[in-house]
Amino acid sequence: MPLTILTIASSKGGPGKTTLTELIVGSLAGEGLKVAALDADPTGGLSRWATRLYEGPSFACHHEADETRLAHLIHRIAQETEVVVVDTAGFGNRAATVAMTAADAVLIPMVPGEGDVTEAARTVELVAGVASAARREIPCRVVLNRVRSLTALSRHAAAEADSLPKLNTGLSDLVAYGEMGFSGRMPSGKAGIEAAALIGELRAIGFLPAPLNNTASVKTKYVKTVRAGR
Amino acid sequence: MKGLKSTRQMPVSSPDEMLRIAGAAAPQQPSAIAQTNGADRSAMLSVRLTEATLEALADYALQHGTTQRRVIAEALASRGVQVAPRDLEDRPPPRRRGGTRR
Repeated sequence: MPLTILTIASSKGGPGKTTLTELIVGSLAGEGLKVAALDADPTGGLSRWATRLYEGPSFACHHEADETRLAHLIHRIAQETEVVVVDTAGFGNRAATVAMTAADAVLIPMVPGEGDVTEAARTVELVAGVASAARREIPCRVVLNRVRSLTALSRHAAAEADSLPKLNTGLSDLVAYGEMGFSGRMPSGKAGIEAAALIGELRAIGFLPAPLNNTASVKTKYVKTVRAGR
Repeated sequence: MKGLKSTRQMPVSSPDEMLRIAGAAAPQQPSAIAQTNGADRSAMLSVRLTEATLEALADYALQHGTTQRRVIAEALASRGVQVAPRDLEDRPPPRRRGGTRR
């Protein structure tokens, strides 16, 4: 039995689903957890990043956007993995709903914007509908992304999404996240601190399992691996 | 598993159950990928024509820098036959131009 299946979803394109997935998967693999990433987006951005660019400790990555094959894949992968993270396409589609159906929890990234708030709310409603059909609780949280905390826009968008279940931590509008998409390296500095805070909150609310005891040794190995690759 | 506690409340649903629940929760949603039901697979059509016609076809394709397959597909499309867009492309790249028996 797996520890967690986490689905990253939003019916809006471009709120940072793949970036969020990369951050979570890379961070957990860096801790030594046995992680699998499932790319259910037909564009295959996550699987390209994982297979061609990513430089950290390895994790399994599968690309499948057909809902029937995805359901079978999730079922199979979940038996042999500790954490499964599913990245989905940015529009309402059956593969994304299947991934919600299988999920223990759903994360919904949202950037400041009217359309993003609206679609985040719709996605929260969809998760509730899936949970109702599945007759079990599927908790979800909105994650604010590309936040510029000093701007009125970010504050307004956050206020507009006040009625939605939200994480306290979010991701700022930092170049480091975009760089991660090209470098394949987990961000450091402020972005690294934000990512760690995000993982910490996901653990605190039970969306992710607790860290392994041997985290320090894995991190050391990771740093050495990256330096050796330069 | 490594002394970690599971956050799951119950085993993972079966694939059929996942699909059933997803269909019940959002029955209008489209598939993330186009469902072709095999309609985009290629198949062979063998047609017997006189050599002269085949020579003319090969020569025409050669003169127009295209494939015999595309010439046929365009002729069909011009008669109102619904030809798949990929059949109207020069794909795969032409290997045999024909028209060598001059």
